[in-house]
Amino acid sequence: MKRCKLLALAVGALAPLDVAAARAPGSEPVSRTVQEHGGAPRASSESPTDATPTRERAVELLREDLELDRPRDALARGAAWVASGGAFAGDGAFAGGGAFANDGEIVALVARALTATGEDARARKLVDGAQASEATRGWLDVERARQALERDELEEAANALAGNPVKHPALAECWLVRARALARLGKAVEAAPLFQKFLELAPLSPDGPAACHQLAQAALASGKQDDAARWFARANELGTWHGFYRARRIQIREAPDDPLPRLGLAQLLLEAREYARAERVLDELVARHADFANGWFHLGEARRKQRDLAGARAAYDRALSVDATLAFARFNRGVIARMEGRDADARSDFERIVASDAGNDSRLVNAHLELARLLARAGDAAAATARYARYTELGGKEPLAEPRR
Amino acid sequence: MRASTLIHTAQIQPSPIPPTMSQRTTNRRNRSDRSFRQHLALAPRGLAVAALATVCALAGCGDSATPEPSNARVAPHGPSSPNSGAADANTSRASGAAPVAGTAQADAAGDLVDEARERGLDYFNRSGEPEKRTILEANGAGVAALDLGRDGDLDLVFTQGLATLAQAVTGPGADVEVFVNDGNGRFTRAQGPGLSGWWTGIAAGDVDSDGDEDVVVGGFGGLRVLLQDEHGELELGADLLADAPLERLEPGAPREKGHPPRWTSSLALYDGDRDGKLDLYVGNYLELDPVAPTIGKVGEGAVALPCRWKGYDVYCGPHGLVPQKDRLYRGVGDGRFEEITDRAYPTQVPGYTLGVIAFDADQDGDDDLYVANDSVPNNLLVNDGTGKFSDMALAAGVALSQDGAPQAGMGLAFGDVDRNGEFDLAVTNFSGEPTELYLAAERGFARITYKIGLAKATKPLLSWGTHLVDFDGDGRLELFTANGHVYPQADLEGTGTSYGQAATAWRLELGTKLVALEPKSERSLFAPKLGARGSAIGDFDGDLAPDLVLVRIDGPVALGMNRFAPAANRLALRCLGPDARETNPGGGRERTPVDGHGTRVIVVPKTAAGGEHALIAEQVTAQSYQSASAPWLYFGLGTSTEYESIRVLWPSGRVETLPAGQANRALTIREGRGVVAEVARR
Repeated sequence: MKRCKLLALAVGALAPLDVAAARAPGSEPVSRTVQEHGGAPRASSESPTDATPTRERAVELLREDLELDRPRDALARGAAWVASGGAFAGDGAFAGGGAFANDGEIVALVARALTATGEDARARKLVDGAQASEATRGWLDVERARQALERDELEEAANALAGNPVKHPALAECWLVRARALARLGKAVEAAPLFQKFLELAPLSPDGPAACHQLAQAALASGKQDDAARWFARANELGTWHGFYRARRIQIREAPDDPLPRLGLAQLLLEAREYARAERVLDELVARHADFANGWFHLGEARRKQRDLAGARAAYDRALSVDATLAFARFNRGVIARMEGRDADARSDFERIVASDAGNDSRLVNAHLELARLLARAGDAAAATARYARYTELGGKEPLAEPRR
Repeated sequence: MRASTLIHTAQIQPSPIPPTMSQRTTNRRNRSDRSFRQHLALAPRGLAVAALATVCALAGCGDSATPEPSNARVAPHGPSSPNSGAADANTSRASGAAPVAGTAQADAAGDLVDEARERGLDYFNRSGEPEKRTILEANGAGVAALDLGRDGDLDLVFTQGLATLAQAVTGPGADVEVFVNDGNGRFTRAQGPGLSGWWTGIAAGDVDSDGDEDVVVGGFGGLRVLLQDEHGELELGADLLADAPLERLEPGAPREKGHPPRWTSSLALYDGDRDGKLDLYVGNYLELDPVAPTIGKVGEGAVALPCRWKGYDVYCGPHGLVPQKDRLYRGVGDGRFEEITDRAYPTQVPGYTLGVIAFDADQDGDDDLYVANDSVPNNLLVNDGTGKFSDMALAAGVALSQDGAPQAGMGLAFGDVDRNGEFDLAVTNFSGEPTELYLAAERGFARITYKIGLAKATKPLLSWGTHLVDFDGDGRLELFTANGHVYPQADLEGTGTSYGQAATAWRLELGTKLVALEPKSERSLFAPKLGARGSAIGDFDGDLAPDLVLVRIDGPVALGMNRFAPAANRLALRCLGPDARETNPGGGRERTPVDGHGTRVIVVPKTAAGGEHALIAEQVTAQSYQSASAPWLYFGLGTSTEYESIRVLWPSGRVETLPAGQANRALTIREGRGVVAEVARR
């Protein structure tokens, strides 16, 4: 059973999803900052009552609690962090001085958890009473506007974040909340560039599908039906990705010692080209399951995608030491060896693949080509021709001659 | 209902963007209502009061630009004339009677007062066990308000579930429950038709074209036509699952696991091809195996997902369970139906359907369908005029939430909220999601949920049945929702909601925020915080004010008698098509169903200068959730004691105009014969 699931997951990783390309149509590619959702989505198996984490980890935990519809967990861990005494005098949950009482972002997230549990008044009180640092004060403005949206105070929400064009342009959520307020006011076309900017700043936000949908509606309103269709498709694609992303994180919480959900999570991040985050997830996976060959293979993939060839080779080595039949790891290790000029090592890996059942796997057809080229380079023209013939039999289309590098 | 957890998000089918609805409408509009539509299209949107020219165009007063078809005839008598038309047997009395002696009106002004007990309505819903371990047990029942016995008053038929899911297998099963109005507004339990099952949704209409209303009832493994006989009793008609034995569930019959029954939620009778014979849309929900129900988690092994909501373990579904395909049936006209699902709706993607209404969404004269799906996008099925449907919900802006997320669509209602002559939509949803209100716009629909404060008001609620109805008779529609959470765990800490929820209604002040109708006493239908599901509108006491039947889950029914604004002037209309044996007075291929389904009526109250407006409504029964309302149109005329005109747009294409008349009457209008019955307000 696990093998079957694993295979399905592994195959999925071979087809990259350009989730980061939330830029069509008509926008420019931008560098992806992950200010909102950055950091590795490590397994959130920490108890809500564990010791105070780093700021980054605190943000990550709170966001995941909220995204997974666990606001009570967010409150359980976050209330003490943002306790400020004065603002919440008499409110037991917020008594004392919390480690993040002056951090606007963390206060905002805890306030959002309060809202999600129906405690609107306390949420407002928390935000209004917070003494946030200058650097994080913008988050409180955004949260105030979000609370106004919850109350259907649309003008208030829109005006609170108005600027040029928004009050806190470095905060992706500032663009989103103001855009939402405008859209709810019926100003879809005016909101569209704000949604677009939000997608540029936070392409992997769980609010990404919503932003795409709004852009589709704006395109419809402008009579741009082709654009609308593309944005609808984009919203669908991104929404599907987030559905799986959410499910994997729930599964990790439910079964922190099972490798498959973590592997699935890493594959989703690889599809989204979030290679560094995928690597962190896989590092944690192989630390827990050193004998899990597919974990090592995917770790190799994450490193290879970041051009860390030595790291990738080491990971493939570990994968093959656990499971010598793992042909994908062997193939990729062979490719790296060939790129590094270690032709003998490369030839050894490719020969082993083509001699095994994996040699008939169309997904590994390039093992025949790579081997044929190595043979040709070594002057064994007959063997190269025979190997190339097998390559073409399996559907290969590339020429035998190596492309100029 | 919303999934407690997700395996993956719903696939939104990126359908090609169709031409605008207005373009389609222009292309397909029939001759008789062409200028009607054009006037609507040209009229300024969102005006509180329509311009006089538009009003006249709508209703035919003055120099109307709307030509009557050559075969159209003005009704033979005016409103002040007596019942000069031949009074039909089934409309010889108003749709109700005097209030029951002893029921107080004075202490409950401006309210729906629950008089179920005094009026003999002792229906008590059973919907499984209180713990709600399976999704079936959370969905509750519905009701139909219809005239049994052709005596002119409104009777009630309730669907009914069972005390446990296991009982659905072991038996005995439940019958539908029938309550007959004695003509004085008091109900007596009557013999049911003898069904055995777990019954959920109900539709009402004249499916055998004999002049009385029949019923189609759906359930968990059952889909049955119930035909009204000459004594007003419902007798067993066609079994629409007869050819699908594995999808039937017969309580008490041996059953093995692995065969989830077909589970019908809401149904709607409609006339897709305008042949005058009612067709049937059957909304189906999902696959639940009664022998081995999914409990605790969906999926297997490490890729299983717990069934959890806000951190609490809850029943599983809908996500993770398999949605069932909706079914469409063509009515033969004698009570039988033939399935046409793949032909009529070839692009269907099965959703988790909970609500369906049939109405003329694009005002081209035929029935369209709006389908509310649970946790996947809703469908707006636009009819090409032949009964073939295509989904335009995405392009029309009624598929998803404002933020592009699927919502847990439950109940549906339509009506002209902004009095611009076009039908607007209301959709109820899960807690945390707003009840949505969409106004018809130049292209599709425009959401005003947030602008009027409806999101804030409804997000704590999980709502089901809904109506756009003029309770207070001022000529503007109120929004009603039946509420109640699916999870008993909603009462636990930190959910932001509660299991029992009071029913709610609001006045829709479009220029500002909505205003809640508050309960005035403990007897108010809006007072008890109990869960409710289905609901139906009808006038049960003959005062022409719409009352409301509310089907609670695991509890007693409520009968909310309308005690709003007793001084408001009102008008109740019932439209009937020609007798099935009569020549089609419309003259063309299209024919109005015998029960008048799909007839649109425009009433212009007589007002002082500056107050001109028109009211439009369409006669359908499928509204709300799993329920059928009375086939009457209830207009509030406010301070107007007269109306300028009544314009009737028959599904046949014929347009008839009745001249000015007095308010405060119930009129029955038959196509080609004008007013055939008239009863004064009690």
